[in-house]
Amino acid sequence: MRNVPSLEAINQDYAPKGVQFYYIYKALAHPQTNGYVAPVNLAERLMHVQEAQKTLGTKIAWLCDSMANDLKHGLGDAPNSEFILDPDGRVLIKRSWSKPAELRADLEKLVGPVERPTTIASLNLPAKQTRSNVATGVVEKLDLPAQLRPLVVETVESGNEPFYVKLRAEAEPAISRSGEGRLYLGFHLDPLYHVHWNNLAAPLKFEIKASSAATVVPNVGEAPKVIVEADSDPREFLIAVNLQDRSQPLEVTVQYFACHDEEGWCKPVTQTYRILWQTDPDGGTVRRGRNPRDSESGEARPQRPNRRPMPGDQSAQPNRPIPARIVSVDLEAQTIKVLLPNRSEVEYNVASTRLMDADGSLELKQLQENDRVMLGVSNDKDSEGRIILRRLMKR
Amino acid sequence: MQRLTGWAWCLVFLMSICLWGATTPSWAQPPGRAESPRDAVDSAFNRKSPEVGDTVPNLAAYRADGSTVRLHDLKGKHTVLVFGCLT
Repeated sequence: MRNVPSLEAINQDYAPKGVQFYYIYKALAHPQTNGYVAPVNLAERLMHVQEAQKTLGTKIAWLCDSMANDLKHGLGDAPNSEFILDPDGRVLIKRSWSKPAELRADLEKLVGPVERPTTIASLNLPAKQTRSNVATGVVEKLDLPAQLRPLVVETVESGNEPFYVKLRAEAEPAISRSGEGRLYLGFHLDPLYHVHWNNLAAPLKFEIKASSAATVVPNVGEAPKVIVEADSDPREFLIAVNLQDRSQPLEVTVQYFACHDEEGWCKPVTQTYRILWQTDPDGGTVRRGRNPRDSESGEARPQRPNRRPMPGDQSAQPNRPIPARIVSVDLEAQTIKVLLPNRSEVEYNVASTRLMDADGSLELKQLQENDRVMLGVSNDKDSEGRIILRRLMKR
Repeated sequence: MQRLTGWAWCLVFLMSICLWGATTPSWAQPPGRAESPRDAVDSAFNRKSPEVGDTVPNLAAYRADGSTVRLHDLKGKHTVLVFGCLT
């Protein structure tokens, strides 16, 4: 919500004049933006409200829509609409998109002007926060078909364990027309649980149970191994589907290892989701950037990478230098630990690395904590699984 | 009269096309031009939201502490409602 600061300033000015303000928290408009994923129950949606209060620094009270999205549907189905009601609950003004400048002008007419309008700067709203200290951008994003529609996903309860991972399922429109097409499955960690993948354990696995009237290929899958110990990137899959009967849902069971650093646990989790063959009208749209349209043959054209290649990626280019900062140097083991731009710490083998600075060659013992370096990685690893650095240039 | 060069003819031709596009009625435009997502939101909102002058439906919502509140419970003051979410 980009207009929160302006709305907060208007609230500051008009609440003392007897106007009451409420935000209505609704289904996510753009799931996965800043990592946020759709809640699966009211308790989780209320967690979103708390997160919004905290991260946006709002003073205006929040009302939370029901999980059936009654308020959203009953008041026009728009993501950022705005209403002014009179004291009898009648609509005086409505807008499909909130416009704070116009809202202020309306209130000025309704209850009178404000002598000194509050400025946004005076509100001391919080700066954007970084939520996670684990790596992101280390797992290759899938090259997805251009047109995907969100499907209704239900969770199959099994005990009190929260769904740390949310399944996003999207289907090609061809599936609803001919029964044949591709299904996107994205397993997204819910940032509100502060959990990350444990990459020292087995990668995420899924299994799909379909009725005899559906064929899914593959019906089992495993996420790729990731070099960094922990990350929070989604695990994504594309599944080919051939449906004879759209009334039969798919059941997807997923197994993964999750860790919570603050609570000090790492554990295996098994959870099940049910995918219904219905477009979810409240599923929102994912901002994936400009995807190339599918060609006539149905094959997606290559997508431009939207991230910096990281060491350990299948796609990492060995010759492309990566900026980093030295965390520690182990002279005996001939290794260094560095902090990468995505805030993950990675240990490299530097036994055969060419070390340089602006003046020429460098010795390992000359490197110190916080030194800024450029790394040239190879695709080779030592016996301990550490990536071997080809070059290191001290900046 | 000075003869028009090739470039000038091109310009006249392009302007004619623009003029045709601007004045052609919608039924004569080529089919398949989809409504933009923003326009789709606007038209759905105009269709589905309560009209100006109507009382808002008495729908239930939840306060941040989980307690239930209905829209008619907010009567008594001028009220501003703004929809939003974390994304």
